[in-house]
Amino acid sequence: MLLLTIFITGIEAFAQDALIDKTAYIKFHSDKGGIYAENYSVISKLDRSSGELIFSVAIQSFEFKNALMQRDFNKANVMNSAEYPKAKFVGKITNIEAVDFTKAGSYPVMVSGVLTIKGISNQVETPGSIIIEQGHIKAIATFSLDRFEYGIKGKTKSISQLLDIRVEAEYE
Amino acid sequence: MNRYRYIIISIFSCMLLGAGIAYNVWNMPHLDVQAAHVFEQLNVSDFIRFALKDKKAFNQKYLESNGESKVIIISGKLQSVDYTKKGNPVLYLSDDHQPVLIQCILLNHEQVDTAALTGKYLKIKGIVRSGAEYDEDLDMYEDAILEKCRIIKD
Repeated sequence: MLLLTIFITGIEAFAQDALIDKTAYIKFHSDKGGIYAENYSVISKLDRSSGELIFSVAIQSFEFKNALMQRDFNKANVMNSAEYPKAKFVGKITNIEAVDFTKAGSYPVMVSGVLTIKGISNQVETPGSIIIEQGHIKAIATFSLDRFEYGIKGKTKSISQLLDIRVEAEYE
Repeated sequence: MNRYRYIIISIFSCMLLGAGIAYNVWNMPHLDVQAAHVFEQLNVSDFIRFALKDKKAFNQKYLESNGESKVIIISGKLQSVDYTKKGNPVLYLSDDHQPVLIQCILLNHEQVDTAALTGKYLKIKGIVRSGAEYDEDLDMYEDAILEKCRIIKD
């Protein structure tokens, strides 16, 4: 009975290390043209013990202010969202031991992993923050993405080659 | 003289027409999901079963290349309610026979009476953004996503 209790407690502790946010947020912004789009239905997973960090993004959930831009963004020569409906980041917080999840504060972290868009994968490394406040765990990162590395075409005259990406997740 | 005037007026009219068309295309409205034609009406179970069975066929059937994908009416049991970071309610519809949920993000910022609606069967109209699938990296099923949703009252 004691062994069973230890086993169950162990499973629960393991399960609680993996935190999920099904309404994480991503915004990308192009300096040229001041174009931006936002996505409020990103799935994210953070494992507090291993530092594993995953984001899964439904491409068609990106919303632009301008409807024509949104249509163009989804088309085959840009994101090809009907064929590649998801983008994914699978990586790790490399200094997860620097975060004290029991103590409120903002902890600078380094994130490293593989970002896959349109079936093309590239290594990404970026600084970010883990913010602990009132029992909530927030993860925030901003980085630049070279769209040409992922075969994202589109007019260079009106959209920057480097896009600014902001990612926010809040785990409970 | 009259001939030149005719040419200038014609050129000016064409430019004006072109500018008008360009203005209208540039400012075209987003798809009005709630006024859009309903492609299909089905329950959570059938929708999820199809998505899990054949991802490619699901994408071909429901996702459009310009992002204005199929508008459907889905019916299922409300399991829980959450809110996006923008404040829109997210209704999770479930089915007893499937391990996955459908995430329906409501169009408007509104308070949902969670206590009154949880466990009730709802009909929701919305646009398909992605299907459900098992993701090995996440080690979990990803919910199907419907957006710009509204609860349909019988």
